[in-house]
Amino acid sequence: MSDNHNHDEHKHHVTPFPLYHKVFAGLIGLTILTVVTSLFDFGMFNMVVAMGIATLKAGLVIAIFMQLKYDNLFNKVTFLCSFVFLAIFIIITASDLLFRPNVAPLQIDTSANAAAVAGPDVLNKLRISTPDQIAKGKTLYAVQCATCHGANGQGDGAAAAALNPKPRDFTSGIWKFGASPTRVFTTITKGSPGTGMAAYAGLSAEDRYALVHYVRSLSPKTPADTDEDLKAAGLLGGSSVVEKVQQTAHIDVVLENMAERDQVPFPEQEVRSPNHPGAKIFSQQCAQCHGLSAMGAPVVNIGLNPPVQFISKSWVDAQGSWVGDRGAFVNVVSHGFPGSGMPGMSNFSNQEWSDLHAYVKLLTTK
Amino acid sequence: MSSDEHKPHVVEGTNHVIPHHFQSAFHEFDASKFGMWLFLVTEVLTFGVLFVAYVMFRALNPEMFHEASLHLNKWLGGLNTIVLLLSSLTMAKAVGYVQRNNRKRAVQMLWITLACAATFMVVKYFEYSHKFHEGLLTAKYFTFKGFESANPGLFFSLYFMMTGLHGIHVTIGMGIIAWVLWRTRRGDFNENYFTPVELTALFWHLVDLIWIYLFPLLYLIG
Repeated sequence: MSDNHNHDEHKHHVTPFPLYHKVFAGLIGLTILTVVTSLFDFGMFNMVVAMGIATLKAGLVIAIFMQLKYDNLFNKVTFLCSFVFLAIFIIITASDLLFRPNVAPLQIDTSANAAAVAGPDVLNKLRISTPDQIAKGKTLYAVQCATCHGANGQGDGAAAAALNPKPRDFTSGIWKFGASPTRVFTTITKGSPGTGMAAYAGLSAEDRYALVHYVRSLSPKTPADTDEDLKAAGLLGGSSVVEKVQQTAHIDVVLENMAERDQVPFPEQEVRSPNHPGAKIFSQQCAQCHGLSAMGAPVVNIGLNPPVQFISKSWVDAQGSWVGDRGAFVNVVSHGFPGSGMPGMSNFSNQEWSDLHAYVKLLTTK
Repeated sequence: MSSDEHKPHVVEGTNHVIPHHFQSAFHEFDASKFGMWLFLVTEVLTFGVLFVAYVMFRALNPEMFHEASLHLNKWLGGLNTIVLLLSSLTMAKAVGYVQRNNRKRAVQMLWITLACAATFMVVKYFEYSHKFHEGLLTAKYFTFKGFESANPGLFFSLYFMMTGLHGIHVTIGMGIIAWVLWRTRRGDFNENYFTPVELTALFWHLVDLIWIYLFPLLYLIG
């Protein structure tokens, strides 16, 4: 710069080597200190201590090694601004992420496309009753079963009046399909064809076994599994029965699923032709699931799949031609639709059948 | 300019020609250095993204981070910290020796810096190959059995991304230091012109700076 004498004289800062050596010694000392402090637990201050020491070290490197201390103000502000922006980045992200409300994972059945299965080991463990399972079963029972089977399991739920045959009274000790755990499990899984007992395969194996142990706890007759029961269930003798299980679904999948279901419309409904003699029967016995004017109703909680049952003109045209024929109508309605949730209903007089049939025919026309 | 306005402006004692848009050698040095600081700002923010991810995931999974960090060797991490600090010292002294016109010592210091950087990468190689062997890998490639807490792959994803990006910086730094070493030996720099050495030093100190934070964050989670 000897040729620049008539301008502002600039000199490069030359740091004395002893200062470098002192800083280096300090950095090594702080490194040892941070390793030593990591051996002690300061609880929530662990991070604070470690970051404090690191920042002290960083400060030494920046000020002395990088010579920012001797640099001009413009460069100082420029570089230190990066840390300010980093702090803003961290604070705003944390204030968003850490203060979101907890969203409980929803349970939905993804077994159709999920490869996960519960093998015999899991089922063999589940079929042994525990107090926890019974407690869990009780909760599930109130939601899934009490509508028909009654709050106390005596087969006297609100919907029982319309059902034929009547729902099982668990306190009777009578079991149509066997009382052992695997037998009851099979009944819950497959339903009881020809009755209002739907198949509850949509519940996880764990939930179904919880129900098994709860309803069996109501019964005076609870035989254990025999070898024959186990063989039938594929839990004895090498047969590789696998049981689909429910998985915890990601919230996005659940929302997508719900959005799809929401596309099924449930219009506001009024009773059509309220003075028709069949109207009263329909609104008492059928409207809970079919809707007041047979447009469908959201009845997910009694295990119907699909959750909505329609009697619509298009449905009748496509597959329900039997509605037009009184004999076929009485036959189908009194037996129900096995496995679909449509129970058999037979406690109607001859006149009531005629009225109901006429009314349903009226509903299937626009 | 002063008296020599029509002559090419060569820095005294070197072959370096000051580009005509700069008033003086110092003006050029100042502008170059400001450019380097700006680049370092972008570096801080690049690593900053990973640091933010780290802070958030650690806040959400404190036990998992603690358990996962036990699988890192804090002594190897500590050794690498000391190696990098030493390389920062020698890099700073290399600049100092160039400023004092002691070319021989400057070259020595750059060689030590280069050796430290190579040592760092060799230690890192042993650490990485150990993790590869044990299946302590990123996200879905994580196959190590025996973790008590959930999602340990998350920690190792961050570990490999952060140390990996840092390792890339060390490797690039080695290349630049080698180039500066060669030019110093050739006699390109003296007290009047040493901008490339100075800027390389700034870059190298930043690499050290990042590691100063990575070491306690990854290896020493109490």
